[in-house]
Amino acid sequence: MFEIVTRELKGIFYSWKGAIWIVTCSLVFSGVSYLLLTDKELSLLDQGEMLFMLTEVIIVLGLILSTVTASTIISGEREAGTLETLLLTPLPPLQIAVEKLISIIVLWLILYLVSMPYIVVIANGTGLTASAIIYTGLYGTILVLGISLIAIAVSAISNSTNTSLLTSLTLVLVLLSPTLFFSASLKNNGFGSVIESINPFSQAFNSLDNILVDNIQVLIHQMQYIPALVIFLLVGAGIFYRSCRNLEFSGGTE
Amino acid sequence: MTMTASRIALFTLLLTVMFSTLATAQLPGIPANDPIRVNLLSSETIETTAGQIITVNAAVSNTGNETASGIAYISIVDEQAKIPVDLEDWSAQKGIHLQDIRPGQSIPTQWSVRLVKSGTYTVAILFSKEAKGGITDSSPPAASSRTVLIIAPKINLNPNNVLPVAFGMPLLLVIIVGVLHYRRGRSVGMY
Repeated sequence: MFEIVTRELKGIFYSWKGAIWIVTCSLVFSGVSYLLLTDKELSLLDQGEMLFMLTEVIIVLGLILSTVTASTIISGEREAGTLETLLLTPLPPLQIAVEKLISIIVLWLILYLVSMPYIVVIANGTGLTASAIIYTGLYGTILVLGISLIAIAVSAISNSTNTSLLTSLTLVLVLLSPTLFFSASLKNNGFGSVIESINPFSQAFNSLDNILVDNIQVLIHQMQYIPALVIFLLVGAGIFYRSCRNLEFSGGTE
Repeated sequence: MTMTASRIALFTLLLTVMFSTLATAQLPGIPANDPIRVNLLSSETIETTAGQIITVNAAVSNTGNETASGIAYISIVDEQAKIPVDLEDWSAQKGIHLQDIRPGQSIPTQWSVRLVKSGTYTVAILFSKEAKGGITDSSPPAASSRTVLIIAPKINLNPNNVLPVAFGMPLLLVIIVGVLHYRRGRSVGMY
């Protein structure tokens, strides 16, 4: 049980190349915290807004990291010729895929753990520390799980890591774009608000904004944001199940 | 004697005419009797911290005999950098159109300004008269006196909390990864 999870994680942590991402993510969090402390304009922001900015960075980094890892996790094995060996083990294909998914969730949890001290120092004195930690964990895990399910499914049907990586990253960018590029203008527009309401990424960030900036910390008030996230998870699980129940040596998509 | 007295009288007359001409002379570009007065109602010096929103109050009065229209606007100058500030960043309303200020009328105006950066600034309100009946008006704007803004920096985050984490976490992670890598290397005979 969990042999593949252990193997994947060892592959990451026992090599400099694999482990450098944790240090890089930590450097990004340090950079953001340092800017919030020293930048003349950023340092004027309300602490809730600072915290929201930091949690956005944490979740976006988690999403990019998990997408990159997930989208190459099966197609990479296929390209390297190691998928055949893996499929010859007594493990059913779906279990192989699920174990690989767990290894990605563990990676996210490590990133989340690394981000915690930053959340604590930025939230210090606001009374938002617990909410920031809980909701970043909750929304981050749901989004990472959902996007990893889809990225692994894409990886399972691709023969080329480039194809699966590009497809999955494009999906992440499309889902992130309303939040990163058009947030304010979308909310003022009928069509835009519909897009926002069905986009799980936007819903998660809107809820975080509600909690950290507007200080509405009760879970019941966040219920309006949950359906899009649940649907995203269900759709991801469906695609994952369909693509991974019968893993083959050849994916079929170049 | 009579000659000297008349010369002195003539000289005095000349001096009087000269001074009275100078007194009523209009320097180029500055109207002698501008009917518009802009009075800054806020205190002469405001000391506050960055991030605050202050309200600058002024009144535009028409002391003339004719109705006047124009635009009242705020000017904030950074006295240390010697440049005017970008009002968009300071969320300041740029201009207020005041139409038909009747003779003797005084219109109060208000500007909310978000103090973005610490430093010393001067704030003034100006009023630029609108052209009437298609005739261009090149007279200079009426200006109020200035309020001095002394803005102290605001510190939201505690550097004693943030800096150790910002510098310590990456270092700690490098050490953990290094130890893991070294232990793995030793177990497989790399070191």
